Amino acid sequence: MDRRAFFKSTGAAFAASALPLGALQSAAVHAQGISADKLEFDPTLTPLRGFHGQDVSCERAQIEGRIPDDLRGTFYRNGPGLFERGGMRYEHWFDGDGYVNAWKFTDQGVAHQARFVQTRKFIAEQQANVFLVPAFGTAITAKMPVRSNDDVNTANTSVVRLGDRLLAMWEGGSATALDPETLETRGLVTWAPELKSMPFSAHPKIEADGTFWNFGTFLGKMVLYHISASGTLLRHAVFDAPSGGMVHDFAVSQKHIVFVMPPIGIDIKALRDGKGIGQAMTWDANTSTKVLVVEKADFSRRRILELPAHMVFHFGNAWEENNIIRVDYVRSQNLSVFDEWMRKGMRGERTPSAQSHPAFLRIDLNRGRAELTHRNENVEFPRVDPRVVAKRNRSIFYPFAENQKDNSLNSVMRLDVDTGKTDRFSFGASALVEEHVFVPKRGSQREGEGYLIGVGFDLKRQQTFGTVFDGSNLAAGPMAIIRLPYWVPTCFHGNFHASNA
Amino acid sequence: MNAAAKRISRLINLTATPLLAVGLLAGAMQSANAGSLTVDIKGDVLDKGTVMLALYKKDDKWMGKATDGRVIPAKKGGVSVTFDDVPEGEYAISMYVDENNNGKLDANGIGIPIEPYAFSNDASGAFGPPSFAQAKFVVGKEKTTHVINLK
Ligand SMILES: [Fe+2]
Repeated sequence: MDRRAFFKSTGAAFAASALPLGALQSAAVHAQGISADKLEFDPTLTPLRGFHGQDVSCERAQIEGRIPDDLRGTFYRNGPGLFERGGMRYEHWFDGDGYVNAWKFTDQGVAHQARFVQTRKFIAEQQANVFLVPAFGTAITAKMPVRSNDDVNTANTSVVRLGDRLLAMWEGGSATALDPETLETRGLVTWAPELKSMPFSAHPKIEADGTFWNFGTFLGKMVLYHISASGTLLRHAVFDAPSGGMVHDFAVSQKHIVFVMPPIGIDIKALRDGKGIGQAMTWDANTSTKVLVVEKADFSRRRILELPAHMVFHFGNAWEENNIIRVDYVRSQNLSVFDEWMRKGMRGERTPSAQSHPAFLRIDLNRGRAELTHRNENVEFPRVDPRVVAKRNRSIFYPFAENQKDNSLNSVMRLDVDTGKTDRFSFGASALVEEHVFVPKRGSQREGEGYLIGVGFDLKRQQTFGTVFDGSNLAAGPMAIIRLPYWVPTCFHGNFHASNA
Repeated sequence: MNAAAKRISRLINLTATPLLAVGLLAGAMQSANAGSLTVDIKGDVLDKGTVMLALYKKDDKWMGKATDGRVIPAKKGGVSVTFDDVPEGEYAISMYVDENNNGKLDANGIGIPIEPYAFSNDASGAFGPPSFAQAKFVVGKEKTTHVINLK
């Protein structure tokens, strides 16, 4: 090593980089969090209690009704599964460690298995039996060095099959590869050396041919990924984001990638004072929500439009015709759901969540205009038939809240975007439901022909169940209910992977 | 670039003066109350490249020009560095492994280092390097050993 290289030694080297970004706090701060004892948990929130690190399985779930013969494969789901260690409880739902569920549909019936993702964080904390690193929404003093995003990566938000890997995704750092059969953790995914530890969202968009699009955002920077169906990185780009805060999901049309970026700021002083990112978020109602449109063919061609301030987490789909892009998503007023409802929920208190509604964005590229309309149903977690991703779609599927004073999701709904008609089924006061995903019928070519499958929590039995609906007739009620002999922590998102016929 | 990113870049935009003629300075550093300092660097990411280590004393500009430094080949299992005749006082270390020997700490597209790095006390900062106070340790009259754990 020559001396010259040394002269550019560590001080200078560090000056060029934004280290250590994963470290979300300074050492001077005392740990916060909820004291875990004496919590009186509302029984409707049981799945938010979380597990204590154990894996569960059930070889043959009890089935009411009939599972269609052509519904074969694995329904993967992921969510935060562990919230407590050493008598201390996280304050935010997003903080928990990733817990991947596999519902396997075979000729023998339905088997269920769930395992914690063995992240670096989980392994170390499992050994220590205390939380060792700062969390998204809970300030915890680091008890082990935090040197990159992936040191606090919980891999807890979604899961998708890509090539021979199962990806457990977070959004602030790398995806974690798992074995699709055993759910065993293989390790962090690095798409290219210069993309190590980069944010990778939990909401990739996968076109019918397998083309895989994803993005990441981190403190004012964005990265776009274009990945092949087999899981090879084809292209990527890093650029400055038009707004600094959190972007959770996006949409892809035939020719464009669309982001809707709410006016969320990050109070960097709060971060340096030891708050979690989720605690340091600010909402600036006086600024606009930005719409960023990127050309798929050339990531450097980008334009920005503006809308009045509003919040969005999840997108259904996007498609375009004659330079007009249509995007659907679920909008809400601001960050209140994030703050209040989730924090109370983690204490076991049932409280009304903010309303969120189907929203429809029309982007006129010729005139440079964006217009937003919305419906009044109270929905979340929109999904479309996987065959129409980035193409014109007719249906959107949502869990929704029917006659629920607290806006909790107890129903499923299909919306026909052309006619505005809906097809619905409600579990009433007996169950709460999670995201539902669409699985095409084998051999079918027509959008909407297939099954809507999802997960619910039976309030009386205090058990988790799976659902199978006829996607074209939800009102008829589930074709099958798959009962587990236990409850599992509530998941955020997942995807179905069909087995070969 | 938004305000947060600007703030970060300001925080870490420290002009580091090259460690001029470290060897020549060494003689001048001897004093009556000087001991030796051994730094043990441990971890399983030391199997390739070069360890770049800078030693700062309290009066130095932290992350700027260092008092002393070492450049040593990485070695599987760990490396050890000894500084002789280190005057008593408070010190801190910043170090990284230049895995590809390109003379710099490589970062990914959003500025997060992608080569292994660490500070004394295994300190980590918040959106920037840790402070000198977080990374400092004391060198006494006799022999001092400080351990840094790279992951
Ligand atoms: Fe999400």
